[in-house]
Amino acid sequence: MHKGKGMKFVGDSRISAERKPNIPKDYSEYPGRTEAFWPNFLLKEWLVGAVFLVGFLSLTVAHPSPLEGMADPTNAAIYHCRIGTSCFYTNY
Amino acid sequence: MLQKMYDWIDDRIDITPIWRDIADHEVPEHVNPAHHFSAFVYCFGGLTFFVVVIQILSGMFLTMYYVPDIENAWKSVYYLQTEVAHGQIVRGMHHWGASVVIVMLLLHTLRVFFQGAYKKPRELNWMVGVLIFFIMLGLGFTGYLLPWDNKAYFATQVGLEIAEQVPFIGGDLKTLLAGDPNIVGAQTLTRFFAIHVFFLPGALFALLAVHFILIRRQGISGPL
Amino acid sequence: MSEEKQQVSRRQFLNYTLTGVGGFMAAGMLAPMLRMAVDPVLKEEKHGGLINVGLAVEDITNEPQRVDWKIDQVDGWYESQVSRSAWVFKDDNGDIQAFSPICKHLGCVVSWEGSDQYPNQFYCPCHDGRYYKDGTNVPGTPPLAPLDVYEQEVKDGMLFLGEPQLREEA
Repeated sequence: MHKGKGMKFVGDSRISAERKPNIPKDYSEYPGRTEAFWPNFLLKEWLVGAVFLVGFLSLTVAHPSPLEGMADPTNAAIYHCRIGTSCFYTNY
Repeated sequence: MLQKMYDWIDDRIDITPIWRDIADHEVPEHVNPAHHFSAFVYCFGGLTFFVVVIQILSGMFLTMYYVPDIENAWKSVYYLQTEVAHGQIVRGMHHWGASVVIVMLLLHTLRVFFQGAYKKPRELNWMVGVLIFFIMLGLGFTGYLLPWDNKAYFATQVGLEIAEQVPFIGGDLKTLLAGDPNIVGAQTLTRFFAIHVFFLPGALFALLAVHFILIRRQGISGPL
Repeated sequence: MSEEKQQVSRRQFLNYTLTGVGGFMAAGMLAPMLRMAVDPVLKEEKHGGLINVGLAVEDITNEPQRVDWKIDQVDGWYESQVSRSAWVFKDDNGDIQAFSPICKHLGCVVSWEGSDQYPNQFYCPCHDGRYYKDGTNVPGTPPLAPLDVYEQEVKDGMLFLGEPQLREEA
C-alpha cells in the first residue's frame, strides 16, 4: 500500500483520494498452477454446495424429525438406562 | 445503479481493499476437483461451514416459535411441527443438520489428519479446530434437551450422570449444568437453552473467525 | 455478431453464474424458513362461534348493562379462557345492541355513565373519551370512531355474542 509523502487524502481522513481501478489481476496470464478464488474457485465450491443442499433438503423432507411424548420423569419404562446401569449404546 | 451505490460508499470508507482481501487471492491447483477429482476431500471444511450456516439460520427462525419452559417447550415444538406451514421442514433442517455437521466435521478432520495438514506451521489451527469440535458436541448435547420430549429428558439425565463421574468436581459440575443438584427440570431447560443459543454460538463464531483468518495467513497446505 | 456488442468476459460470466448458484442456495435454505416465519399472516383467521353470555333477552332493558363471559382462546400452543365484556341494551326500536367496551382511542375500557358529569353517555376514564348511547363517539373527545359492535344472535331466549365488528357508518 502506498504510504508516506505524495499521498492525497479525502478531507482529513485516511482514505486515499486516488482511486485504484477495481479490476483484479487476470489470472489467465499465469496459466496452470493456480486460479482465482473469486469467482472461479468459489463457483466450483458452491456448485458442490448446491448439490449438497439438494441432498440435504431431500433428507429433511423424507424424514421428519422425531418428537416423542412430553418428558415424563416417572416414565422411564422404555429407557431402562437409568443411573448406574451401563447401557448407553443399547437403547437408542 | 448498484455500481453507483458501491462507488458512493467506496468514496467514503474505501471498502475495495477490504473485500479484495477476502475475495481476491489465488487457490492452488491441487485443491481443485476440476484438476484432480480426489481433491473433493478439500470440500469437507467448506461443507461443514455451510451446514453451520444452515444451523444458525434455522435456529434463529426456530426461536420464533420455541419457549424454553418445561410447561410449554414440548407444546410449542409440537405446535411448530404440526400446525405451522414448513415448521416440520425447518425443524428437520436443524435436527438433521446437527448430525450432518458432526459427520462433515469428522470427514474434514480425517482429511487434515491423513494429509498431515496439521503439521508445522499449522498446529495452532488444528487446536482451534479441536476446540470447534468440542463446541459442536456441546451444542449437540444442549440442543438435544430443548424439545423436552421423553427421549431428550433421559438422554440428558444420562449425560449429566456422565458429567458427575468427573473426579473431584463432578458433583458441582452436574449442579452447574443442571441448575439443581437433584432435579432435571425447569432450571436445567433454561440453562441449556441459554448455553445452546447464546454462549456456545458466541464461542463458535470467535473460533471460526480465528480458524478462517489462520487459513488465509498460512495458506492451504501443499499437495501430498 | 458486431464488435459493438458488449462482450461478456469470462470473469463476468463466472460472476453471474456464481450469483445464480449463490441465489439458488440462499433460496433453498431460506424459503422454508421464511414461509414458516410469515405463517401467522397467511393463516386463515379462526372464527369463534357465537357464545351464550348467560343473559336472557327479557332481562335486557333500555339501560345499558355490563355482561361478562368467558371464551376459550387458542393462542398457538397456549389454550386459555379469557374474559370478554359487553354493554347490552335495547335501543328505541327494541333491537338489542351489544357494544364492545374497548375505547377506540387507546384501548381503555369504557363504562355507561362512568362519569357523573356526562349522564346518558359511555365514558372512558383514561382521556375523557365519550360516546353517545348509540355508540357513536362524541365529536371533540379523543375517540375517532364509534364503539365496536358484537355479532349477536338470540336463541331460546338467550343472548349469544361472537366477535366485535368494526362499525361501517360513523
